[in-house]
Amino acid sequence: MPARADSSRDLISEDGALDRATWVVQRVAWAVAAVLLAAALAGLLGRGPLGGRAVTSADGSISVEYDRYFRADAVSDVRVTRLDPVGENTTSPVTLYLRGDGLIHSLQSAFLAPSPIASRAVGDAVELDFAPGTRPSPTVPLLLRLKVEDPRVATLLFSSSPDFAPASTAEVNLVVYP
Amino acid sequence: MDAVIKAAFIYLFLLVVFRLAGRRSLSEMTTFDLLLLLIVSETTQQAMVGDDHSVTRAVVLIVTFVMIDVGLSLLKQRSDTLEKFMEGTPVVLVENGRPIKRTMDKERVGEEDILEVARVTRGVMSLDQIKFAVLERSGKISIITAKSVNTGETS
Repeated sequence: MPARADSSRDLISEDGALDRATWVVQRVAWAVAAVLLAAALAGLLGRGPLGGRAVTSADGSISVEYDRYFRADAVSDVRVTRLDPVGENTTSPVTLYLRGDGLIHSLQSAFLAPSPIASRAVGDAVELDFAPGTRPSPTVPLLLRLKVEDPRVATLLFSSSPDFAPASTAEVNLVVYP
Repeated sequence: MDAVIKAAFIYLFLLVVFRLAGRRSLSEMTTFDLLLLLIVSETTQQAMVGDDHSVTRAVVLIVTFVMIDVGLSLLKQRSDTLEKFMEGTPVVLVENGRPIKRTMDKERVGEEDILEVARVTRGVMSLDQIKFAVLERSGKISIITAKSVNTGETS
């Protein structure tokens, strides 16, 4: 009895066209959400297999492991290794130089292990001195816990030379999500 | 990645816990039930969020919960077994005015609970007037009176 069915639908103010449009939008939204989930699982929205990066300076003196995708106000770990170039005196103190896009000032850093014996701010760079026995090495890398406060695309430079010579500098590119 | 995994684990854990707790545990909420719910939500929130208060993490967590919910609802629609396992089945508590004590004890429903629902929803004062009382999957009790069976009326 189509007439009766129509009147029932009128009674509850059913709007078939709107319902069908809503179902389509819902399924499109599910697809978008599934893509978002896949991206999150892959590490494109934070920590994960596709987000991990490792860079080494051209002369091999500095090596950095990090997650490319940061989140604002969340702590992320960066592991820095100061490698020993052939012929370098491993008993002398070692200095690491950090610089980046005004980012240093918005970084909240905690140096876990090994601890630097001194740190200085020089312009927009930071210098970290390590005692001979506690230099960041492949077995004990310097663990920086970085917290960037604002969303941005940024570059951090880790160098073994004070003038950030390209050959001795490892460039870390970060995307900081809100 | 860890946000998705944590959220999925918490979702499945809560699903199991509240299924094991039984369906009437939160369906009629007392003040203490509300407090319990708040404590559960606060505890799980801390486990999932940690010290990452970013918008991205919140979005990932919410999308994970919603997508698991949508995914399970689609699976339940296709599998009766899964639906029964997750939602349970309706249970008859009173049949032809006679309370089924064993079922009521197992489901932790008292005669007074049934009579209260009968009074509120059907204006019925005694068990004699109840044809069926059914504990639904939602945890709510539905009352079918002899009169409604005769007239085809449903509540």
